[in-house]
Order: sequence, then C-alpha cells, then structure tokens
Amino acid sequence: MTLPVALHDVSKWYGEVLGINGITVQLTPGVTGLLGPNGAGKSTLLKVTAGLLRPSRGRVEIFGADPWREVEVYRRIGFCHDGDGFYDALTGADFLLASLRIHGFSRQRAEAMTCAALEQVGLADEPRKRIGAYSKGMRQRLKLAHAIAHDPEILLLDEPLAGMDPVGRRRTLDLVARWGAEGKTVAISSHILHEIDALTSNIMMISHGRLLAAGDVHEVRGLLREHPHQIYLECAEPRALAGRLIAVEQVRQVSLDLARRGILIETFDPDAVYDRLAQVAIEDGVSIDLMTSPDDNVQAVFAYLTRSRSEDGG
Amino acid sequence: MPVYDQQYHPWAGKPQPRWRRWSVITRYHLTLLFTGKGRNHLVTLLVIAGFIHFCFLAYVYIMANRQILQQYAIPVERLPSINAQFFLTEIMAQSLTVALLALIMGAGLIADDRRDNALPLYLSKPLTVAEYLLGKLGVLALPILGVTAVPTLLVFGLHCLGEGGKDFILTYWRLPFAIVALSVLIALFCGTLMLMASSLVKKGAIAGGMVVGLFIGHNVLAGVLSGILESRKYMILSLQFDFHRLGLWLFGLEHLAEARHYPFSGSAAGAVIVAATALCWAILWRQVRPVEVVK
Repeated sequence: MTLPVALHDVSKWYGEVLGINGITVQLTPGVTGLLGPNGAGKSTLLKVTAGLLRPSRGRVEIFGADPWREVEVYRRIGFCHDGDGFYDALTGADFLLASLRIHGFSRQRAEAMTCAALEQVGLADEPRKRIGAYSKGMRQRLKLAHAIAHDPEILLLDEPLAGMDPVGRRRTLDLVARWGAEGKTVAISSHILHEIDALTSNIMMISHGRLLAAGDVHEVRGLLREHPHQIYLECAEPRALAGRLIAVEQVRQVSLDLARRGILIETFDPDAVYDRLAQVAIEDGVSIDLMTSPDDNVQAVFAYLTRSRSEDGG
Repeated sequence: MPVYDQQYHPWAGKPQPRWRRWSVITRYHLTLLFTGKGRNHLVTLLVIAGFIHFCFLAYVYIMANRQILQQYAIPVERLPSINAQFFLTEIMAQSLTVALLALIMGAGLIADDRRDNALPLYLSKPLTVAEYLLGKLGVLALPILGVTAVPTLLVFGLHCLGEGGKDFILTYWRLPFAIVALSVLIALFCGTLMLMASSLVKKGAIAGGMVVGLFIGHNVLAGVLSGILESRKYMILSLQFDFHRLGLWLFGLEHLAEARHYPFSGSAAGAVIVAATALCWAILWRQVRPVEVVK
C-alpha cells in the first residue's frame, strides 16, 4: 500500500538559514500533531510536504508522487496555510466556489461542496457576508473550509487554531478529530502543546529544524530512559504508603505533598512499580483516590527532548 | 495499525479540462475589477476607446454615403480612402487606452497576491505557475483585445458589408489576420510587461510607476543612442516604434514612406517585441513562487 505522506531525508535551507534538516518521517491515516516552538520549522515542513517549497535535499512523496512536480496530486491535499490572504471583496461562498472551480469541479458540484464546507466549519449562516467583514476567527474557519472543501485525503493544517476564540478552538479540534477518525491523514501544527495533547497521542516534535521524535507520545516517553517516569497519587495515608513504596527496588525517589495528601514517585521501570503499587494497596487496604502520570504527556516529553538537545548542544 | 471508519468518499468524477480551471482566475478577477473601486475609471476608459472606434465607424458610414459630404461641398476625393492604413491607424489610435487599461487593471494583479500572501491559495491547487500566470494574463489580454481587435474587425466587417464589398475583401483578405496578429502581440506584450512589474513589488501603485518609468526610459534611451551615435537604427530599441513598424509590415504597407522611414525591417521589430515579451515572461516565471522566501 502506498503511504499517504513520506519524507525521505528532507532538508530545506533558505540561503544560509536552516529551515528543516534531514527529516525522514511517514504520516499514516489519523491525526498527527506537529509540535515545536516558534521558528522550529513546522511551517517549512508542512509547506515542503504540500509541495509549495522545493526541498533543498531529499524526497517528498504524496501517495508516491512528488508534489513539487505533479500538481494533480493537489486534488488529494488540503492545505491550510499560515497566511491570511483572501479577496476581501468576495463573499466566503464565492471564494470557496472559485477555489473549487480551480480544482476542476463543475459549477453545480462546486456549489454543493461549498455549502457542505461552510456547514462543517460553522459559516453556513452567513454565506453572503463579504470576507472583508469577517472576524479573525471567521477568517481562520474560512481557511479551514478552503482546505477541506474539495474533500482531500490529506490535510495539512498550519496553526489552524491561531486567532480563534475558545469555542472556535474546541469546535475546530472536534472537527480535526472527526476527520482523523474518518481515515483522513491529518497533520496539524501548533506550539500550544496541551491542545494537541487533547487531540491525539500521535506526534512529531521538531526543534531547530530537526525531528526530535515521531510516534505515539507514550512510546516516545518510554524511550526517554535518562528521565525517570513520574507517578503521582493521592490517598488517605500518604506517609504510610510512601514508606512501603520507598522499599520497592524499582522506585528511585518518593516525594510527599502532605497538603494535598499526594505522593510523587520517580522510577525507571513504571510497569514494575504499577504492579507493586497495586499489591501494596491491596495488602495494606489503602484506598487510592487519584493516580496520574504527570510527565507522560506531550508537554513533558517536549520539555525533556528540547532540554536534552540543548544540553547536548553544549 | 489502527482501524479507521472510511466514512468519507472522495470525489471520483472526471475533473474539468485544465483551461477551464485557470480561466476561473480570469473570470473572477474581471468580476472583481468591474465591481470594485476602480470600476468608474475602467468604464470611462472603455467609453473613450469605444468613442474612438465609433469615429472610425462613422467615417466608414460617411464614405459609404458620399453624397452627404458632397451636399456640403466637401472634396471627397481629398479625404483618405478606407484601406489597410485606415485599419492600422484605428488600432494604433488605441495605444493610450491600451496602456491605461493595462496600468489600471494590471498593476495589482500579482502585487496584491504577494502583499496578502495569497499565492499559496492558488498554487496549493492542481494549477501550475504557468496556468496561474495565464489566468492573470487573461485579465489584461481580454479587455485589450476588446478595445483593439474586436471593434476593428467589426468596422472591417461592416465596411465589407457596405461600400467595400467583394472587391475590398479580395484586395485586403490578409487584413483580418493582421488585425488579430497585431492586437494579440500588443495584448501579450502589455499584459506580460504589466504582470512582470506587478510581480516585482507588493504595491500596485509602484508597479504602475515602474511600467511608466520603463516606457519613458526606454524611449529616451533609444533617442539618446540614436542622437549620440548618429544612427536611426537604434530606434529599434523603442517598442513604440517597433509596434508601428511591425504593423506596417503585417498590414502590407511596406511601400509607404512611413515604412521606409524606419531603418529596420518589420520582422526585426517583431523579433524585438517577441524577445521583450519573452524576457518579461522569464522574470515573471522566476518571481512567482508558491511561497516567498525572504533571505
């Protein structure tokens, strides 16, 4: 089966400035969060993937085709770019209609697809409003509608949440999740990590143009062996439980937070600790009210990865 | 490997031909131009262009009804007859309106897209850079042809239907081709030049200024070189003269003193025009990219 998106050792330089460097990655159906701080190379990566920039080195394949050379592949890509370029004199519906006509749809078909796209992003109530009168959030939603209007199999969304209000953000994240669940290949970039955390566990992290990690965030976390895993729990008798846990061989450190009746455990073997914790709780009849893994999420993984990198760098 | 519900069904129909895709750009831009702020200027220009053609048409009518003039004792035999030169003059009389149309309509065509970072909107679709440029060129070429070729052919046709008749058609059978060829070259050159200037900047007004500067500058250069080097052959550098010389050649007016006045042939003038158009196109090709890279 041909992969929807495959990048092979892709680099992009802007003169002497490095955009992305030696990135090899594959995107499969579902949502992938593209994470990184501002200037990390997220937009460059998406633009190279979308065929809008020619890679300085390496190869990009969209369903096996080179998007820089074969424009017909754009029928299968929906790109939501980071700019804000529209024709303000046009209405949202006219803008989408023109866009779909450029894609090669007949007028009748394009009109139906325009209505469907506006409906999806919640702009169907005001199809005749001129874009010049749109708010920032509405313009963002129109960009999304523009990306999905032709029903592409691949969606590349560059900071689609920027400028949206909380309701708009929620709605957009729900839409993105739905597209992913339908089997579309969705790459969404953001530097707001918790939003991506809530959306998908499949991530790509880049910093300074380099790919730091790609895959399931929990698996990536598992691979970070130099950073002990944290397990946080709250119970009625934290002192007693902490005393029992400190004796467990795999536990590296235990910290108490008496104000919240909490215990923070650090370990390099979380599976063994979870097993032992269950045993101890049953043996001592301890009721655990809350148990979380505070560093098994996108933000923590990103923090560890970028810290390691800056330490490596000197 | 996760399992996804394939609920969506990508459209599997046949897309429309490619020319219909880029013609959308032309169509929408023309709509925007004629509904936007510059509408009054455009309409005024088109009315002026129409009036010039109307004068030529009126002349054709009067020449077909000479008795009207004779009633007023106007010496008809001294008036210029309707021939190839008449139609070349009709096209060349539109030089100013063509230039103003190109300036008003074309200055912001690419500059605005660059300013608004809208190029990715076009070029993330199944549309090549060449097709994007063709779509934009159409915005300029269609109105230019609309004020040159179309009305001139109409006047030619009406003259043939009226006084000219079969004999005129047989004598001047190449005129319709010449009218179309010269008009197409004017439209292509003016369109490409304007687009090229528009692609170099992010403000339409600056692009317009550049074209005016280029127009004046190259004519001055041609004049200065001719003066300093005491040779009229350097007038070939003036595109204004080139178009006139080419017109004389295409319309079969090589025998006129006007043609002999030029120290270069019509084909050489045509070659200069084609080369200038190609140069503008090459610069355009280099400038228009889906993503602007700021170094």
